[in-house]
This record gives sequence, structure tokens and C-alpha cells, in this order.
Amino acid sequence: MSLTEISRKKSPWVIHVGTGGCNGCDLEILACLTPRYDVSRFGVMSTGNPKHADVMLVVGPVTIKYKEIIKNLYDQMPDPKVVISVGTCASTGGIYQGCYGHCGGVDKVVPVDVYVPGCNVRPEAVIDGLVLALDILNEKERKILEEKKAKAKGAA
Amino acid sequence: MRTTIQFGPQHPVWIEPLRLKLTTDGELIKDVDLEAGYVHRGLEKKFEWDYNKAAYLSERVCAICTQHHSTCFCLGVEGTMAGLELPRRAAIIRTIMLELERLHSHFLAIGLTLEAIGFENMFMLCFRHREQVLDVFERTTGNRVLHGINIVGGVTRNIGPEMAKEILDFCDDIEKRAHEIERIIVSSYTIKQRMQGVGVMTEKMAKELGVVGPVARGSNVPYDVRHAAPHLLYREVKVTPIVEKDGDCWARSLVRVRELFQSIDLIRQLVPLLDGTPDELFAKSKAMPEGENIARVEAPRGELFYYVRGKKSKELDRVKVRTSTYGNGLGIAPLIKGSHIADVGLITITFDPCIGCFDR
Ligand code: SF4
Repeated sequence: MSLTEISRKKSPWVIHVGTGGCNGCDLEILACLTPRYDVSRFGVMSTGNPKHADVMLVVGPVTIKYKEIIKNLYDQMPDPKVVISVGTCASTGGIYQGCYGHCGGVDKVVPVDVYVPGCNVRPEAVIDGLVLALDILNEKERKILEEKKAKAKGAA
Repeated sequence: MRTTIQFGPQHPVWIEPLRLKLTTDGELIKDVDLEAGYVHRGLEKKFEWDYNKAAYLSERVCAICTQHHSTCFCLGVEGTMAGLELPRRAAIIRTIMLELERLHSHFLAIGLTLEAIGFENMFMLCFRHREQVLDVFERTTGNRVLHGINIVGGVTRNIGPEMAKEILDFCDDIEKRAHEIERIIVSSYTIKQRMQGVGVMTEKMAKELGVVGPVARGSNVPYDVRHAAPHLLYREVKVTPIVEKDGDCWARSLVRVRELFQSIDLIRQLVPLLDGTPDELFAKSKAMPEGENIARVEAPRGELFYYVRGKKSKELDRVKVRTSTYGNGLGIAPLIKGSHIADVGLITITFDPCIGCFDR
């Protein structure tokens, strides 16, 4: 494991994006960050700035008005990045299926790596999802490094 | 020189998307434009659905006041069904849940307000206390945030004698914790300095804009639906609206702090009423929803209003929701105008905005 990998695994920064959900899952994410579940003891830090974030937590079906913004946020995040869809409605549309105001789950707009089901999700499930996401993050990092090496070899 | 700043839609102060377009002159805000609609899913259309399922849908308008939404919806539908009488025990259980929910919502609002002015430790403290309320929810309904116990005609879960005792014990515990929070907030010079005189809404303004809930009560308007149009058990346990005079951020927050104790007191009065009430939780209706009806409840953020029209079938004809943040939203722009950029987050957060409600 390289130094960046270790440090990334020890302290991932997450950005929390709420789009069209009902707040149920937003509240549980907040509960994760606060004393009872306290993910900060694993080094997870919540940031409001997409340019600092490794992990994006998306809550809610993507509303039509928010579609562009969420794409924008995703593009601003540095590589490697992971997207977690939190809650049933972020994964499939859930109870809002058939409403005219949204365009389905998050995976219709940005690629999603981890799905956390539940309406509303429990904080334990969010933590589980985060742990899964960290592995994926490191895999992506390794791939990027390999590509870089291959490129360097090709150039030489 | 005038500059336009985009505040939001993704901003750390709010957990939900809302956009403010601020036109500033140096530090001062000259003009403000509020743009909402980022959470508009089209729920009112979806409500034209089987009314039994719609009770669950109404919970998902906003999860912070789920019980208020579903209670209000159920009250609305029950009014359109001829000859349906809500069992007394169901009414008591609903009311206890409403008050518990006010507790957790106010802890959340107080915590977020304190976080907005930089007291992250107080935010954490509020959330630790809030978890206590969620534990009671989990023990009584099986869920932490969305409860799913309201159905048209009653509730699905009972509160037995053991649970009743547990709730009373919880009241003692949470009262101590609320006193701790109150002591810290009221005696803190820094918090007072930061919030007093910021974002003043005068009584006249509050009446003209028609704001509701703690925002109105913070501006000396004693309007509380529990007092003005009592529903459920509020006909028996009397509620006096809590008012503060100043109308600034401090007053609005203080109203919330004082309402914590009011809610605890109400729960203490409500739980003994369960004793000796027959164990009947659900009344089946023989009639289908027909005609129109309105229902109002006092949600943590203010008056919540449902209009229901049935068409003599399982599907409803029309449901209109007017949420509390929708009433309060009008007040945000005039208060921000003329304030400093640093206060924008604080002023909006003392409105306790719930964008899920705002846009539906
Ligand atoms: S999954 Fe359920 S609880 Fe979570 S935001 Fe969506 S509707 Fe709300």
C-alpha cells in the first residue's frame, strides 16, 4: 500500500449532497457524524467543498432542476472519486417512482459505486457503505497509478 | 461596486438545496433573490393514489416532521369519511408522538443554529440529546426517523404500560438535558452577542407576511394551531403559545428552547391518559372518502395544512399541502436585505427551513 492509499483510507473526506429526498436519510447521515455513531473516529470528515472530497454521499432521487448541479459537483471532485447512493429513493426512485419532478435514481446522472438500501437507511448501513466505498477508492487509485506507469513506459 | 454572489444550492449551512442570489455592496446585502424548486418532486400529483398508501407517502414529504404530515393527512381523509370516529387511544398515541417529534425537531434546529455561528461542540451536544428521543421512537414504533404508524382510521402500534413508564422516565432524563442546553445558551455572552439584534422581524412585518410557528411567536404573535384550532387531544390538554418580543434570531431560538419544556410537560400530561383507555387502535370506515375537508396541525415549524377531496373511490381526487416553511419562506428575503454576508446563514437557519416541505 502506498502512502497516499494509507492516508486516503485513514481519512476520507465526504461531501453530502441532498437532492430530492425527504430528509430522512440526510438526518441519518448527520447522526453518523455526531456522537452516537461518530464516524470521525475513523477519520471521516464532512466537507462542503467538492474539490476537497473523495466520497460523495447522494440522498434522494435527482430532481430535474438539480440534475445539472449534481453533474457539476461530480466533475469538480478530483480523481479517484466514489459515489454512494444513500437510501432507496436515491437508488431506484423508491416511493417517488412515477412522480413527474425527478429523473429516477442517481445512477441515471452520475456513475454510482455503492448502493445503500433502506427507507430510511440506518446509520450502521451508511457506515457499512462507507467502508465498502473506501476499498473501491483504493482500487481506483491503483488503476490510475498503473495507467500512469504504463504511459511513462510507453513514452520511454 | 455591486457584486452578485450565488449562495447555494449546495451549501454547508443547509443540508438541503436552496439558492439565494445576493447582490452585495461590500459586506452589505442590497438585494436578494430566493430561488427554490430544487426538491420539487411533484408529490401532490402522486397523492392521487390509494389513500392507505398515501399515508406513507405523506410521511415522506419531509422526514423531520413525518408524524405531523401523516397525522394531518389522516385527519383530513378521516373527515371526508362519513361516520368514522377515531378511537381515543389512537388519538392519544398520535398526540404523544407529535410532541416527541417536536422535541427531536427542536433539538435539531437549535443544534444547527449553533453550528451556523461556529459552536460545533454545542451542535454535537444537541445531537447527542436528540438520539435519546430517537431511541424512544425506535422502542415504540420500530423506526428511528420515519415511523409509519399512522393509517387512516387509527394507528398500528400500541403503547403498553411498560412503554408508558419508559416514556415518563425518558421525560425526566430529557428535561435534565434540556435544562443543561438552556443554561449554556442563555448564560453564554458570546451566543447572545452574536444573535441579538440580527435579522429582526417586527410584529407588524410578521403579521403582514403571515409567518407561522416559532418565527411568528418570536415576533410576539401568539399564534399556535394547538391553541387556536385544537385538534386531537389538544382539546383536553391546554396549550398556551410561547412568545418572545424581540423578533431577532435570539428570540426565535429562545422560543424553540422554551418549547422543549412545553413538549415535555405535555407528554407528561398525555401518558397517564393512556391508563384505562380501551385497547382499541383502529376503526374501520364503511364509507369511502367523499367531499372535501381540510385539516391543520401545528408542526415544529408552524402551521401545516392539508386539503383533501375524495371522489367516492379508493383513489383521492386532490390533495393540497401547505407546509409551514412555505408560509415562512416569504420572510427570509426581507430579513436578509440589509444584513451582512456573514449573517445570511444564521438568519436563514433560524427560520429552520425545510426545503423538502418548501418544494414538495
Ligand atoms: S430513502 Fe426514504 S427516507 Fe431516505 S430520503 Fe428517500 S424517501 Fe426519505
